Amino acid sequence: MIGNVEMKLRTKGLRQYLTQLAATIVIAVAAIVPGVAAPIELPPIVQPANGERHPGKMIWADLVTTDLAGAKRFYGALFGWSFRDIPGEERNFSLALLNGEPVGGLIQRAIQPGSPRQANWLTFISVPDVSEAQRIVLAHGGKVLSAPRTYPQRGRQAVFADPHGAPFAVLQSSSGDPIDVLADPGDWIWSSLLTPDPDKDAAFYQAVFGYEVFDLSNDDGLEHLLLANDDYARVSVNELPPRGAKGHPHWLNFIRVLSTTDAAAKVIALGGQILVAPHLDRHGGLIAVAADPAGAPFGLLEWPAATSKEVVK
Amino acid sequence: MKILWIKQSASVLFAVLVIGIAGCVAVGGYDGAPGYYGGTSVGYGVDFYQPFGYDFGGWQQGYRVGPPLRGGFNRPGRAHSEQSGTPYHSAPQSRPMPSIPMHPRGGGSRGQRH
Repeated sequence: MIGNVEMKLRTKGLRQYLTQLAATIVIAVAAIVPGVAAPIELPPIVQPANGERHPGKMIWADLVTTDLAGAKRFYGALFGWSFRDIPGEERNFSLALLNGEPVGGLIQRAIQPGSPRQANWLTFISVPDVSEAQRIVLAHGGKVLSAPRTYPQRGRQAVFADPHGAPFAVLQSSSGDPIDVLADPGDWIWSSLLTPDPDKDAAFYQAVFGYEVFDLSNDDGLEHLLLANDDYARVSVNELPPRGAKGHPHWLNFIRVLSTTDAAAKVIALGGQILVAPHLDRHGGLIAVAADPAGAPFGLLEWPAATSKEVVK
Repeated sequence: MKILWIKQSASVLFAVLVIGIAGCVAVGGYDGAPGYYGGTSVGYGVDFYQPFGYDFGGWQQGYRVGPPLRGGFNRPGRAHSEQSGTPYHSAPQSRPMPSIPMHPRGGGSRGQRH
């Protein structure tokens, strides 16, 4: 009789213990799992989803910077961008918004003193299939810098280097690509590749993105090519000016401004630098190359107002 | 004795579970483009553009990288075209030089037609 009671008490104690343990596990897992299951939720490129596909179009840019707070101040004041920190276990990613819509990402990364690396914008170009893009990149002499990775709302992306080492990223947007309209002031309007061998790189990018290639001969004695698709100019490929060892191949992205001269003055007032002074380009407007306070270069390009005569395709 | 063994086993299992999950957290998070952002690539220096702000920096006069206006740029008779063996395929000479999209947004969002 006494043994039965003792056994019941022990069994009850064990049951209580296991119940408490189970509750503790549930609470602990609930507290930890959000950081595991959703490391970060990158928003869609366009909202609502539109299903548009424009392979070869520059549709996004990420700034890798040593000073996220400084970059926000600089670009916010220069282009009217606002920012939204993306929740996640890392607190160093912020979304740049123009008129409430995402135009780029800002990521803070430390750079070792003496390292040749520096703050920079990474160009994202639209592709219909990242895995296929990777296959073509590798088959044509490029390299994979960051393997394809999927973000549920954003899409699938990867970072490659072209045969001359210029880094660029591809993005297969889940929601579709931005439509083909004139960029608003403060939005990306153009991208240029500077390379020692425009012919070879044009062939490479043509293979990856299916571009049409047009010659843009200049009077500077250097080679300039225009790469297009959907009957729109998308990017230019330009022979590097003779700068010796300093001439690293690179992509340079341009933001539309209403006045390059005014924007250049503002860059300096905000602590940035003007690397290439405002000057006339082939469209008849001024362009300039600037660097933010952390040293990330970007272009300023003024473009005349939109015309409603052109029909959206 | 048996009950004590069950309690100890359950506690060890719990500890292993928590440590395992914490380990997963440590490798989570956005790295945007791991490998690239992680520092395996070498960026180019702004010194490419030195001297800053004077004339064209590292660019020489007449160095143009922007897009042409639609209809504002005649395609040059190309010395090295498809026939001369460029590694890329040139657009046919009959194709006019394209420009960037010029149509206004019309109040829609970045992804919407209006």
